[in-house]
Amino acid sequence: MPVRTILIVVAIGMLLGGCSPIQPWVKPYEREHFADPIMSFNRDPVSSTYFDHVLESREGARGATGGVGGGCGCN
Amino acid sequence: MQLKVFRFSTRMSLWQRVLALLALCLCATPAFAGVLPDDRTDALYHRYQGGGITIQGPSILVQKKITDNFALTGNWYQDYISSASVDVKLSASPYKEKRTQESGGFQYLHGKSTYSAGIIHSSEPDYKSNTTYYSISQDMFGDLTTLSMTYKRGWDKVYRDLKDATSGRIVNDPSFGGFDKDGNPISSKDADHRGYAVGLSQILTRTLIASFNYEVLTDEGYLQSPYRKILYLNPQRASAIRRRSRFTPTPAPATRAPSSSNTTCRTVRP
Repeated sequence: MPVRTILIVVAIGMLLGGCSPIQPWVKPYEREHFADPIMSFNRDPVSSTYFDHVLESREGARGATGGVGGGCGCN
Repeated sequence: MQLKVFRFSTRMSLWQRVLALLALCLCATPAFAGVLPDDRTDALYHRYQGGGITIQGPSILVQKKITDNFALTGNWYQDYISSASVDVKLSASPYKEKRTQESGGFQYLHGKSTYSAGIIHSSEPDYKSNTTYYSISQDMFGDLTTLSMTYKRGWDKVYRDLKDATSGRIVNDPSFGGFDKDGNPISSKDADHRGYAVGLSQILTRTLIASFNYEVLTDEGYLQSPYRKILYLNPQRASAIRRRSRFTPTPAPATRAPSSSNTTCRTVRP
């Protein structure tokens, strides 16, 4: 590896070292709304699992919803 | 007063030092940074009607925290299916059947990581399915971001039902899957499924949270309906149209690899 490349890498590393870590822009004491059940992505798990199954077996839309597996009941 | 200071022994080997460092790193993570879902018991009765088919039945879900960082979940679900689908209208008779699904799993919280795993079993007269899933999620960047990864694996067995000529009962076709090396009939065909999912949820403002999920699925094996058939005209037979037409199983690929994505935002008005 040429010396120039090493120097560039070291220089970039030193510059990045000056960056501060990401500061949370929403402080922990500002997150009271996220404790509300209405903000949960899976507020009613039994109901959402059922809708995932219906969408998969009736409309062929599956994946990326968190629901997994099971038969179809459609043969 | 004696002051005791822990220090690495010079007699420790390199591997022992590495293991000791890893143990210290594990101890250094906060014990309960996240939280597991609260205990709950849900009961649901569902009913779907459309396309000539009616499906209804109960579902019961139980979630229980055993300790602050370990929870169990279980679900029992039934489908009572009646009437007839489009395929059955074409080439068979209306039917009634019952599908039962049981699932169980656990969640284990360690620091900012949550590990989940579980198994799902589904059974109906002409389809049996077993699925396992494994998932890990990690809170990061001041708990504003949660990254999750899930792998799931499914093994299905597909059967074909027939009406027994002597008893008149609905039974599985004993040779639907062909014959093995010794000439014994096989009643099922296999279908395997795999899923690879990543998810990211991000707190954007004090009242807005967004979630993005992406999943790649791979299916392999018998991926079609054993009842679906097509009617075609055989040009070799030039006589009456009744003799020229024929039913044949629908050709279908033996592999599939769909992918899907899902974006959700939730907000609340204070």
